Amino acid sequence: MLFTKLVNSSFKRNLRVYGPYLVATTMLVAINYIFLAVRANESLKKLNTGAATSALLSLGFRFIFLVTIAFLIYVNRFLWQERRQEMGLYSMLGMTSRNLQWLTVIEKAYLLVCSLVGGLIIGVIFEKLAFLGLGYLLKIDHVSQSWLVPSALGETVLLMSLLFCLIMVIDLVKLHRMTPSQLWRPQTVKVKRHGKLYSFAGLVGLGLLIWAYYITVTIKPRISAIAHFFSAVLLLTVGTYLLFIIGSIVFLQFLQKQKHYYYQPRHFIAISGMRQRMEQNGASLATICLLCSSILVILFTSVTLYAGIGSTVKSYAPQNVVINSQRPLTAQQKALVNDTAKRHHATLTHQLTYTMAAPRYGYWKDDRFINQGDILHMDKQTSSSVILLTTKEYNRITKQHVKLADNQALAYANNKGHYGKVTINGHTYQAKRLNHYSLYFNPDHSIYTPSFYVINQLPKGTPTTTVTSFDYRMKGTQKQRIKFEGELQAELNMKNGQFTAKETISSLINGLYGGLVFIGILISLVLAITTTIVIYFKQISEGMADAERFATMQQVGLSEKETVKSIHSQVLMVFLLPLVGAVINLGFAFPAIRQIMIQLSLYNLPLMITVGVIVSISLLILYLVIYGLTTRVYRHIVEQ
Amino acid sequence: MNLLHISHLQKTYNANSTHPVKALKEISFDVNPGEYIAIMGESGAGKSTLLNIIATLEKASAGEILLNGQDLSSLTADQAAKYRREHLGFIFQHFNLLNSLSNRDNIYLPLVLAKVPVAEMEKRIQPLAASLGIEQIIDRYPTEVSGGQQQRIAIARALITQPDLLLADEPTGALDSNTSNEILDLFDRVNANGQTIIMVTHSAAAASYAKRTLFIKDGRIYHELFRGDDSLKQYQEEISKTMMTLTNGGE
Ligand SMILES: Nc1ncnc2c1ncn2[C@@H]1O[C@H](COP(=O)(O)OP(=O)(O)OP(=O)(O)O)[C@@H](O)[C@H]1O
Ligand SMILES: [Mg+2]
Repeated sequence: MLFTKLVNSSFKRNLRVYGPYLVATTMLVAINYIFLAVRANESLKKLNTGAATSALLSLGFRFIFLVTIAFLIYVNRFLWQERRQEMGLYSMLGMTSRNLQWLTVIEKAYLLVCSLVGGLIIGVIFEKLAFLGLGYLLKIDHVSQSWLVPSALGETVLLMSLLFCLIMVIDLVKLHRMTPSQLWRPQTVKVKRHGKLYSFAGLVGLGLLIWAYYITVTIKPRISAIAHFFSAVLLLTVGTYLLFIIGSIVFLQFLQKQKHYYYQPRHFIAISGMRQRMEQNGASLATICLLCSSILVILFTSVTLYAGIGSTVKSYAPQNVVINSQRPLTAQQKALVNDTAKRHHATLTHQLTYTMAAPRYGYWKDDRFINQGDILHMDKQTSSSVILLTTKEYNRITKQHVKLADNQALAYANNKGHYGKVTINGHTYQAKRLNHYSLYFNPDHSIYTPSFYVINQLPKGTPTTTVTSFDYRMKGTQKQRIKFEGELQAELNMKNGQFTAKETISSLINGLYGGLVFIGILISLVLAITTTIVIYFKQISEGMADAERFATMQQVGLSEKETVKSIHSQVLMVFLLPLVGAVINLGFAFPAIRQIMIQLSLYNLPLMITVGVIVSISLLILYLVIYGLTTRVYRHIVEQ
Repeated sequence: MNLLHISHLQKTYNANSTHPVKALKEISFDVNPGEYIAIMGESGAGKSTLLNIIATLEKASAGEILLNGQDLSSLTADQAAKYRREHLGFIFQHFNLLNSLSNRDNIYLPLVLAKVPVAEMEKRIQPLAASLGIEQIIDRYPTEVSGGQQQRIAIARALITQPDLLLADEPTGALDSNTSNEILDLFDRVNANGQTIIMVTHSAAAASYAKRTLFIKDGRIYHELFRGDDSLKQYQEEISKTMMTLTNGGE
């Protein structure tokens, strides 16, 4: 058949374009399938965090699917440009528009079938692996997954077919709109002229970016932090686009007006070349920048969360079991604890009981703590909490002999604390900073990390709480330990706020954060694949444009070496720009993410910095490798 | 002394392959300062090859080529680039302007590469723009002006370095006849001011503007015509006749 032959030969001729495109779509199909298959798993749903994990997976899948749609539509534009002239030629040679439509349909069907077959094979193979990985991250060993998940297969095929239909329709509409000569004529790029409004928009972009950065830097650990973070993301997105598309041009135009600077060989070629590149690529570069930023932020957040699970668990449950009650445990309750332990062959150790003031929530006004009451009285202003402890109890439980005057206090905080002169509940103390407090914990698991103040006497009428905690030793699996802890809580008839058990809470947090890391990694992978392909296609189109420029510059008297150097340094600059932008974005997102992490009881700053640096460097290396590989294609085109 | 001296020039493409292409077999001629020479010949005769060798864009396989006493074949690639921007001006059929530069910057390009101060560039462009009639369009971009105007910009770019030799490869090839005539009149005026020009062309009308026409066939100089005191029309007929015999297989 003639059409299939034509499509075939066009595939072969344009392998440079279709090859990477197919690799990318195949991977995207595979990852979409993996998500759907993991989401469909029954044994995962039965876990106690199953609902949360499912919700996360659904959210993650939606995101990945959106990226897939955007990617297919975006890259289709490049394919269209490659195919356009060919179509124009066919139509000049007498093909009817019906014939051309057929060609388009066949082309898309080919692409769909190839990506589906390849993608599903890879997906099925790696799904099992991904599932094992998820199980590992969740720290569970009692889930299973079959080799094939038919429902996920069906869904993937359906969704992908829909997507390819969509881009096919887009192509057909484009084809319908164009006359043969329009198809045939190569597009000439015009340098656009820009008015005052344009410069203004550039400034607006810069302003939005600064605003976004201001928000992230000043975010306080309040309930509203996440909402603020998202508004910053929104501002950042708009700002980045404006700055890349318009700001860069305005800046370069400004440089062009500086005659003595502009009319020097190096600057002249670089600035005018960059200007044209930015006119053509501003939006793509902004997209690459935002993609890289998302990869950085997502990886950074999920990895730090996961790495910080230990410290989070420790702040929730400094010992295996921690009970908060208004009064000390009764003899009857103690007996219940011992009986249950016996039944489960558990030995109790390190038993400790002490009394402290119940956590109070509020905010600091200079060195004065404004007390709003207990956890139920939090509002928008709330930003911290305070726990008071008597010197007597402190000395007893830490086995020390500290003596304080009535206007003195010892203070310990995990986050930024208030020391020196402080006023709490109308009393003013001189607070000395404690570097270490082994029994530190966050009894309410609240997002406001408590500061501990050791003072001689609790003010009259201060509500107190009694902390009873102990460790236990027991042979048995994680499942059995969780069962013991659950039974203990049931026997004591206590609510979650009162009773905290380490194994239970750690499996809960592992389940949540492990799921997050899993999704974070897969999403980063998808973003990395799409970024790579976007860069690749950029290189190809740059190469085509540069081939001409290359020739003219040499004719006018630039040596080949100089030409190569100047063009390559421009290309490198264009490609490094988004990455630099992404790292800057991460740098500014850092304080905001840190505040959100603090809400999740993760205070480990060195850990966060390490993760941030490692993630950034890995991305940089990956990016440069991609750049290097794609540059070979670029050179091939330019030096033809 | 001759401005350009070429003797026994040869050029073979793909010399080491199984199908070497002998584009130039034996070319010898001299050019004196102030001359205006047209080069004609059939497609594939080797005209562009010859011009590219004079322009140092390509290297001869054998033979001697001296410009102002400088042996062009001994130049390295980098030296050639420098030489090109200091001593030669080049005009192409497709103008070869950079779309990323404004017309003004396109004209400045060779001067910027030669690190000429801004004041000097501005001083040079003014009379040039006036004589080429491009003052109105100089601050637009190449894509915003017509083909004839683009060629004028290209001519300005070639002339602004005050080259020893102006080389043109089918400069009117992409233009309609009216615009062609305007460009050729320009060449005439430029030549009257003492500028030496070598122009490759397919059109007898274009060649008739030149004072001397060389005919190339199969990599050799086949014939030579001088305009002398002929009128433009007479001379053009003579050129056409020569071309006819050339294409019909020669005498
Ligand atoms: N880079 C090259 N490699 C191999 N052969 C070449 C190359 N450039 C030109 N040739 C061959 O050299 C011969 C002369 O080519 P040239 O371009 O000089 O012709 P021309 O006289 O300018 O023709 P036209 O009037 O069509 O422009 C031709 O046979 C051509 O195929
Ligand atoms: Mg030619």
